[in-house]
Amino acid sequence: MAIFPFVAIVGQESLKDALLMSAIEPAIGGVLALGDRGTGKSTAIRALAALLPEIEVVRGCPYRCAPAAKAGLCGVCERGEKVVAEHMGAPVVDLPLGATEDRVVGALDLERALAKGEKRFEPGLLARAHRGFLYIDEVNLLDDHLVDLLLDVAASGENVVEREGLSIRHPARFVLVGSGNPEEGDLRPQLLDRFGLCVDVRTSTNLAERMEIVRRRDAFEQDSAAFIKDWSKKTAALRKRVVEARARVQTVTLPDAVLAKAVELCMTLGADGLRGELTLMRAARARAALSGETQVSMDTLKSVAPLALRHRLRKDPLDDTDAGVRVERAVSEVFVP
Amino acid sequence: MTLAAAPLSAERQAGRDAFERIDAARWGQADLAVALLALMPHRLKGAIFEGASPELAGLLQDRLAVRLGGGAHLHRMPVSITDDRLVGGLDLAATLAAGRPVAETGLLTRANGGVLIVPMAERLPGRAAAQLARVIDTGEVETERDGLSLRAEARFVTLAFADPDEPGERLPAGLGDRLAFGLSLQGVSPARPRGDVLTAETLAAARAKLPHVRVPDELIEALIDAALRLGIRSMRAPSFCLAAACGIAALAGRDMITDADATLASELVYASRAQVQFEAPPPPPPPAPDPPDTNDDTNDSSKPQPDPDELTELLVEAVRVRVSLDMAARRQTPRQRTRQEVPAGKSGDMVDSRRRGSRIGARAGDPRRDGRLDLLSTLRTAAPWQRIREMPAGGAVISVRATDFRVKRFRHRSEAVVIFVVDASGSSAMNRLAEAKGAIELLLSGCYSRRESVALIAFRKEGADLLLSPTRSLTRVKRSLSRLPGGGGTPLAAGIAAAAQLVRIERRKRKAPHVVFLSDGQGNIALDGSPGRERARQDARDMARKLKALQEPVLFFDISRRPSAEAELISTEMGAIYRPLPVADAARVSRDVRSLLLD
Repeated sequence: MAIFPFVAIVGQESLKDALLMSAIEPAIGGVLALGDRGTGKSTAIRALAALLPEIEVVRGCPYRCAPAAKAGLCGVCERGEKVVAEHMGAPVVDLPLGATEDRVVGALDLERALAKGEKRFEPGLLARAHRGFLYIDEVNLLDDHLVDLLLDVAASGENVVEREGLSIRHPARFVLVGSGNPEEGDLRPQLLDRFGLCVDVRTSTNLAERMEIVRRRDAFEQDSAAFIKDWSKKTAALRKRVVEARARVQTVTLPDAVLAKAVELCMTLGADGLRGELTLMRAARARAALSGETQVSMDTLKSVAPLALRHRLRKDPLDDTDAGVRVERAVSEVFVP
Repeated sequence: MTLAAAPLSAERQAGRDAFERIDAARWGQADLAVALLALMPHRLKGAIFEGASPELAGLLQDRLAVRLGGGAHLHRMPVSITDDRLVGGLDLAATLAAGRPVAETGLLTRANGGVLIVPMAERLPGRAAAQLARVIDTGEVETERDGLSLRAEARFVTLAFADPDEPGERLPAGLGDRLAFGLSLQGVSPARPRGDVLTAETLAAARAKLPHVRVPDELIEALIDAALRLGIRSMRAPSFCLAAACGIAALAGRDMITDADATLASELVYASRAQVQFEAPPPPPPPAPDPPDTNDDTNDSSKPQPDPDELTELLVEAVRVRVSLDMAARRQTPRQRTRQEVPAGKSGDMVDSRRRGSRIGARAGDPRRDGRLDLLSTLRTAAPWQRIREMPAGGAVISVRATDFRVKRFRHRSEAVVIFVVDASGSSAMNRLAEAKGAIELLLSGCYSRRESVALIAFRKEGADLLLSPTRSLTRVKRSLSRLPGGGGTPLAAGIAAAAQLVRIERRKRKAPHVVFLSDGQGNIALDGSPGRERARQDARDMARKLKALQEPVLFFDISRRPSAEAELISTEMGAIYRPLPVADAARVSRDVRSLLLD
């Protein structure tokens, strides 16, 4: 199936930013995209796979270990035998709602067990998503126990399997991306703040923008190959930016004054725990790296605050104010010139 | 007498003629939608038809199959379909016979290249609808089940049929958004349709014409602007509308889209999606637009229309007329029970809680005692031991022992639905509704680890309305409760009847309904809407007994300032827990609901 190019997506800047920032700094902790139907949430996330640079993997390793890595390897690669490196597309695994737990975490390979009496582990989707993205559309419809499991693994970076007499652990570091429509049922609050960034996806009401969306969609559906080719230059340019930003992100500095403002902002909003501040800082770094800066500026901090904090506010059922507006209000309070 | 009767019957006749013309137009549009789906199946994806009689539904799906050509096959998707039947999984019988895993394809994979029929789409659970929606989007089925990991192409046209005449049944919105057309065939009689006028040659010619249809920018602008003005936010709708307009032009053999084409396309795509509220015209309605004829060259309106604003106005108006006509037809058609009423009592629901709810894994146990055998887990447990176990006699492939048995674990508590039934009559209506609203919001925001949904029925004037169908979404609650109707008489009986109805619907969905009344128990409107305290009281008691027969928990808040014997009596009749609530207090309502009903 042809994939609509990421760079051809009109609008949806916050969603695109959030995804790119997570691709640059996976430690941000995932993205939750909430919003209307027909806004292209799934399109953007599926488009990411075609945009991201390829990764280098150990040939034959079911967990896609990096040949150059020293730590965080699977059991086989850890023994450090000679490896052959090969390239593959960045994994973006799209988790179907009907997936069963055995396929998600991995399970005993039934065929082998029955035919040869051999106890072998068959890796699941978590292994496939290692070093990439795991996407769940309509996350509010997935069984609760599966969502909890995914969040646990995403946070620890390791999948521990204890079932059917198997005892396996393997690395599973991925960026969890969930999407949903709040009209079909709110997410459990304890689940909300376990996602690093939260994007409120709205359809544009700008006529010109909407026209462009329909025009591009139409062109894509008429001849997808030609459409993808038309955008390939821009795709390559953005890919290069991501590669460069990845190389730079750890060296981006965070001045004390900016850090102080970040802490103050979290306190003003009552965003509980350290998670808010950490995410805010990581997101700001990634954003700075993406724009080619070497230092996080106040403006960068301001621009990522709604993404990093909007889902961490204490919920007041009688206050109808949009969470994003509340964050922006706090931003303007904290950043008085 | 005859003198007086004559003008009346003439008027009636005129009304009937108007309706017949509308019916013909309605059918014509449904037929056109099916023609367009045959012309561009991958771009338009499918249609939802509301209130179609079984004959019309059959005719539409047969026509689609014929027009798609190449022996396109039909597949029905039952609403109760399980995940493994839908997307495929392990074929247990074949697996056991062969001694190795054998995959079984799901319905969606088999439907590839054909037509998927979804009857009773309004009852399709959100999960199944979401899985279908995903396949419609991506054109392929991904199976990650029972140790299998498969991908298969799945492109089909979806024809969904809905019969949303019962309160509390919303169409799965995510599905409707992904199918181009939404049309009402409510009340269109099966005798009306004539033979298929669309020949295979016309269709082939249209297919050849389609790539050459030009799309002027003004048209795109008008289509998008019209969608915005009709409150349609999804970006899929204008894309569908544009494609449909191209298809209509191609069917007429033109490479130019006329205003009439665009208007027709908007009616087909936008009418079911429009969010703006319109007043329905009083019957008989204004004359309908002529039935569309796909073979006719309507060149008279093909002069280029340079002003997109004017075209937008035209489109919005056309959709408005269509929506009002649909509403009028809905009111005109007597509510016929097309489905069997589920008899009172707990048929089918008396399942052991060990087998109820959603599956959450497997554990060791005895299937005869502990519930359903999980065959796959059992096999997995037995598999590693095959080498060292002696094969049983009789040519069995696998040796399974009692210790291998695994049984399925289910989430024991099925999801609770709290149905608020609120007296919205008289002067204090706004107060009480505000109370219920507050309680609902508190209840929803408070359920951190729980997953309850709430619904709200208000009764006033002549009947009861479902203001809020069961939802867990605080967003939807706030949106739909912001404007509440109030005032008028007190049709308590209708309120109780509506509650009982919703209880039955929710039970069929395997939910656990709980009912909460906020009322003074003093009805003065009978079930049929006529005033009269005595009849009203009798009806209310009858309905209360019916509710009691359903044996679901009920909580009755007596909201009169002085608790009355009558309220307590009706509360007893419905088998409710009675609580006087002389002073409005949303927090207490929410607390009592939680402690008395849910915990």
